[in-house]
Amino acid sequence: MNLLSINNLNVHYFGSQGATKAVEDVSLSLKEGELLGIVGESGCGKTTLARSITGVIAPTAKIISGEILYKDINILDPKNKTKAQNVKWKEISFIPQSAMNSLDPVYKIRDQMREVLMIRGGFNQKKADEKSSYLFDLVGIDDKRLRDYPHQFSGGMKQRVAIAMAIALDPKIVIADEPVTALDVIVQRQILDLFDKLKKSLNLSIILVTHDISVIAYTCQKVAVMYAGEIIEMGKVQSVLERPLHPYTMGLNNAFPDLLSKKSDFLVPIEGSPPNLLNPPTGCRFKMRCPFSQVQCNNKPEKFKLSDQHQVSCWRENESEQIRIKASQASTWVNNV
Amino acid sequence: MSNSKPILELQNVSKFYDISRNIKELFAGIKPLVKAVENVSFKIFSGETVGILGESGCGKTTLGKLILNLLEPSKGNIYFLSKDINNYEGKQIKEFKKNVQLIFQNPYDALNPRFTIKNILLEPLRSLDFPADQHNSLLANVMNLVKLGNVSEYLGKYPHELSGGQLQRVVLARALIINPLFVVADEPVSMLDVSVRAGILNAFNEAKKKINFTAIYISHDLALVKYVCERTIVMYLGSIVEDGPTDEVVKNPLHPYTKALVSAVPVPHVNQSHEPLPIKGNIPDATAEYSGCKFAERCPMSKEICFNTIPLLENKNEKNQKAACHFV
Amino acid sequence: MIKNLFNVLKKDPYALTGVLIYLFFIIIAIFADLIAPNDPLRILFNSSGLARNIDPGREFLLGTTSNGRDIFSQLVHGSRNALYVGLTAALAVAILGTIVGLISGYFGGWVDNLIMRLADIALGIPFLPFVIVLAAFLGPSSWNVVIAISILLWPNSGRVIRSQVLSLRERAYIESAKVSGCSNLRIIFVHIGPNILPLSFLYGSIAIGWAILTEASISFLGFGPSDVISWGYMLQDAYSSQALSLGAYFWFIPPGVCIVLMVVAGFFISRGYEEILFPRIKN
Repeated sequence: MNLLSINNLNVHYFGSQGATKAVEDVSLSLKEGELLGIVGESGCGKTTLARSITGVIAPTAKIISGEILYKDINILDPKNKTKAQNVKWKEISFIPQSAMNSLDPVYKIRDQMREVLMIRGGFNQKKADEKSSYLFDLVGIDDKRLRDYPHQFSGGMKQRVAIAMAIALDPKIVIADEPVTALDVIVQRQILDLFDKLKKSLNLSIILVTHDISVIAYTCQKVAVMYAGEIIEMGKVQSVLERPLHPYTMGLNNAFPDLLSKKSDFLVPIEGSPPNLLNPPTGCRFKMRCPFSQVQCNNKPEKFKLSDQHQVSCWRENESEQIRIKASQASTWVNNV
Repeated sequence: MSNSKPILELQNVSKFYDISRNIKELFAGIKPLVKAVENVSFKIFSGETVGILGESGCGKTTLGKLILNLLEPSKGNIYFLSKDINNYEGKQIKEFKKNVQLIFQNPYDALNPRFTIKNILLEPLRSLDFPADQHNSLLANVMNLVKLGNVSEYLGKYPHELSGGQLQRVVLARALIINPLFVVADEPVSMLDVSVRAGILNAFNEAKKKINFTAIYISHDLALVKYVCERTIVMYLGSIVEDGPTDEVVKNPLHPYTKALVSAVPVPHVNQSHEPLPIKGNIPDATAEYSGCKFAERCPMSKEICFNTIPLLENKNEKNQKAACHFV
Repeated sequence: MIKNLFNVLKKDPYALTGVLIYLFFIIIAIFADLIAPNDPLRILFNSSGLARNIDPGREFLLGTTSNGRDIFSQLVHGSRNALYVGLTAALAVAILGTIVGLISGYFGGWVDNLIMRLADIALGIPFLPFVIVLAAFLGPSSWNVVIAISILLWPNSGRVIRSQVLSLRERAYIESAKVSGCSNLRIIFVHIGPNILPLSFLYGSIAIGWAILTEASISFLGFGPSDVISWGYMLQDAYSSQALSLGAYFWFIPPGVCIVLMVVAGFFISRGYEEILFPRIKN
């Protein structure tokens, strides 16, 4: 049973120059206890997607169509307003990008925890303090630090505080937007291990949004690759990383420096830049930068579902073996190599 | 290689900062100091690309600024082409700037938003008194070097009209237009998208092959350092803990901190180790005083001697790999 | 930057209104001799003798003063003085404030300290009394108003520009200019300067309003020149002739309205330019 299902979600931003189609026809699902990664570069719509689930979107953004089902209740349906409120406040929790910088600098951490627990959770002060100590223990901070101010914490510890706040009301789903991007690599590893531990001990489902494939490879079981507002490939992490079906995923793999690789491996960029989403191109949005595009790519590719949940939006998915071989050669991507 | 003179040499360089004291410290007569860089020594030879690797607070950016003569060391000497850079007189300062340049981290901030690309690139030539008749040819050469495409297309544009990757190429071009001998690159790709980074790194590598400058590459990302640099210096809390050929430092790290760093880096492969890191605790207070090894309190194999005696950075094997540890 | 100026006018109706008001008064000032039917200071006579306190009519559009002068002509010519004082003072404040702000902000240290203490002193001096004292010593003239405003108003723009420079000098592109061998003077005027010009412009346009108000106040209090017509002078004249009890609204309301329009126009323009100066960050 899926805990969360997103079906055909469309989100647009409305500005002076028109509508930016930031999220286009996105569908994905999350099971209980699962860690799903959403990976993509800046501007691909992953943050908009994450925020749409919680309803915390910019005033200029509008969910045009689609449904988000939490335990089979569509939380976008105005008929389910009260149930949806409860879901968005308590069941689904969101850690925004640089959450650690949004801690109020003039209040002690203990007071900020109390605010979350007492106002949203209905705890009284004593119970709130007990819960805060328990949460700090869970995320690995000494509960004496509750008396400190945010500026007395290091970056990694502030992120732990943000995580503690996010799980304070026992949500079933936590959505984390770039939780480790600003952190040093050793701290990053500790935070990722923390997510894993929380997932196991609290049976939490987590959606991790990031631009770093290595982070996805380390923590997630399932991954969705986003490009220009669309999910172009999705599946188990092992399948997507080792046998990618979409040329963009293949290109992304080439562009990622790998500590374990041989020195002679050449990092290959993907030439060009993502399309302007005010007027996205018809058909496949990657066709301008794709070395394998053909005439058929002027029509929007269908979502091809292969075995073991691996799904891709590319007309040439049946040739993926040969394409993968070609994609691993630098000359395919760069003209003057 | 060790017979020829190094192009850059640092001898026991330290940089300290006073920080404001609270009442208690004022009365106790304590003067807390932040030791951004402490007792750093190394030599760099012509043509090398050396990575300076470390996490935030390790002093790598301060070290970069000291080398560029943007900061003065509190102790020690920095020699460029065998002359102390803090003892320059008049014209020598300009000569230094012709030889040593910087590639910035943030391409969106490194270029004056009111200048056209052409003026941005010509500015170093104007400031350093290059004769006007050379300007156009130098401009064309460097645009080709960093592959900024059709030369005339970009020159009239403003920074806000270019993408991150294109901007960073302009930053690279601006640093190289005067044909410097030495380039300091401070996290040049950390603010760019992944698919764009490769392009900049490749442009950097190719330019290096063509012009043959010496470079220091400052970064916290070990995988990037491995791609660009043949030698790596690892810093922790202002001091050097390891210095050696990059391949060796990654395959066979000697210092316990380097070991922890290497095992902490995630790779884009599924089956990677989830073993707990061989390191304890968190990054300590920047003003703390140490009578021994700074890493001792977090080190899994520290013993009493580590807390009493500062380990020296010494050669530990025949591959020219140095480490500052009593037990290697 | 010129393109930017026009874009703002298109988008912001307030800025457009402000500019139109200025243009209106500038045209009137330039063609004052053609528009005004009489010399504003000339005492006029008609068939019944001194043409005093005549109500508005066909011959005198806004009537005459108690001394027989044409109010409409005075109003028209007053625009010249207003613009002269306003624009000169604004220019002085903008230029002085900008140079001071640049030098103080960029160099810091004792230079900054010295200049900021001078600013403190200038700000501590009460404005109107100072102008009055200056007028008393140097004699009443429009120049004194300009001088007084320049001496006392530069700290406002100077301090704001200084703080902008303080943040700009830490930016990466300034550091890169230093690394590329740029001299300090060149950095200040070629690199930082263009980035703060919009601020100078902003403070300049606010200063115009201040200057005109000050000039009007000085003239109203009787410390202004009596041989030059200004709107403030008109107000003073009306007051001392007890225009209110005479019901001569047409005498003091027009100059008052003109002053308000000029001042408000300045603020409208500065409102529009706030968008250029502090554009909403798009990411």
